[in-house]
Amino acid sequence: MKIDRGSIGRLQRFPSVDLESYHDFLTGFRQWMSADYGRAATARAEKLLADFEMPDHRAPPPDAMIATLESNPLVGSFVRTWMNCQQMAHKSLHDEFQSNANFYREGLKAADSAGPGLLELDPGLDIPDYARHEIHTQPGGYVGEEFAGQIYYYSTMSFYRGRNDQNELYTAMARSVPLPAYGKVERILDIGCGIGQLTVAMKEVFPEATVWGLDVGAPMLRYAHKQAVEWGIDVNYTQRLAEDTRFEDESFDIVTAYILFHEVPQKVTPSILKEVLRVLKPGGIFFIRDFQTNRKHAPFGKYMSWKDHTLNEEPWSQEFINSDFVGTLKEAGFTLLEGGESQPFLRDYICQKPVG
Amino acid sequence: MAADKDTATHTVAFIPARPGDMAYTDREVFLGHPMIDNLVKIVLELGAETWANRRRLRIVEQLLESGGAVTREAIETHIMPKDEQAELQRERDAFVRRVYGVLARDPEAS
Repeated sequence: MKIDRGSIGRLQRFPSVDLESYHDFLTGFRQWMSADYGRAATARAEKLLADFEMPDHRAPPPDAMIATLESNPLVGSFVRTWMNCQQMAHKSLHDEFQSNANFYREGLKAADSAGPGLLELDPGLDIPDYARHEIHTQPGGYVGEEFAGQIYYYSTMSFYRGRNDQNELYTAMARSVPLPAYGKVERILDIGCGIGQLTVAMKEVFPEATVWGLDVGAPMLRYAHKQAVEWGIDVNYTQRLAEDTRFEDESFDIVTAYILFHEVPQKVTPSILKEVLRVLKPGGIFFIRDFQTNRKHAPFGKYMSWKDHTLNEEPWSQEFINSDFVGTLKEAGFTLLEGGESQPFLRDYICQKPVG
Repeated sequence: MAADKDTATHTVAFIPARPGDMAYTDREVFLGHPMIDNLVKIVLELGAETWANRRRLRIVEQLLESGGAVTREAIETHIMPKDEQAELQRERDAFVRRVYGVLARDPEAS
């Protein structure tokens, strides 16, 4: 018999004390990886790569560079444990939710038709292959595992290392979104909303606005909606494609996209930008937070970025970081207002739809 | 396209990171031999299990100190006081450093 452990504010407690403690260990280990362990591995890698030249910062790291790093026990154990943490986080959660599938299924079902907000699922949606990939080593990815939303939520808790227990990162992001040129916000769309962390934060920062979260993954949206129901937050979620939102022309004041564009292939990006431009009102804001692009990494940074792509299952990240995203945004017709580094490895691209 | 959908679970067929092998990353060898990589995994798992036991024991101690019943439900629903949480996090971080700190010692450092 499962015991409902409830929530503390915005923090959904883990399904059991043991699972919570297991992930607490991972949080501590990841904390240490980002400090002493990471510094030691980076220092050794920099020594090993002192004579390496990266001829083209967009090219994959040369095999000789990979072999040099991975034959070193300190660097090798660092990458090994990094992957172990990801796998431990996902496997422990996958086991929990699949072992108690009926219990968790009932919870999702009960919330599906509850309010205050809407949940629109589209069983007939033709989900493109690019969105069907497993990602971040999460079993089944975002569309192929019934409890993908729960697994994503709990697995990112040790990734955030306690800094987002109350959705603080998303609230701060929502507060940093500028107002449209005309100063009024009535409707907001969050594309690639996942489990709705930014969607909810946008509603809290703009309480008078009608807020929609859009994503291709039904399991992610169902969990997003379940959370919004539990918190009594009036946001709507819909299962559609970012490149085909089916919303009316010029119907939103703000569109947001958090870490979406490095998770879609470059050939799809222009169609998403075209769609956002269509649904935004003139003077409206398109707020993007994503990886920095067209940037020269230090050699070890390049290696880790490559391993993030190949080992941590980021199928489209290299295409994105090697692109000129600012140029792509301008080419699509947006005016770049401002932006800069926000979270580690991420930057804001704040765009406006031109008036007239 | 319809055949690849499961309407009961709202899922569709996904593309595995490596076809037919969801745990492909287990095959990546970083430490010279797959068994050494496996040992690292075992050591991490044991650390997590040890920490889970220690944390559970701390909750049981808190329940006993407060004079309440020590039932499974009491353990699962217990909310640790903030100061105890902070103390336990310090203990966790010290535990990680004490057990795993040797990994960050560079054997080649002069």
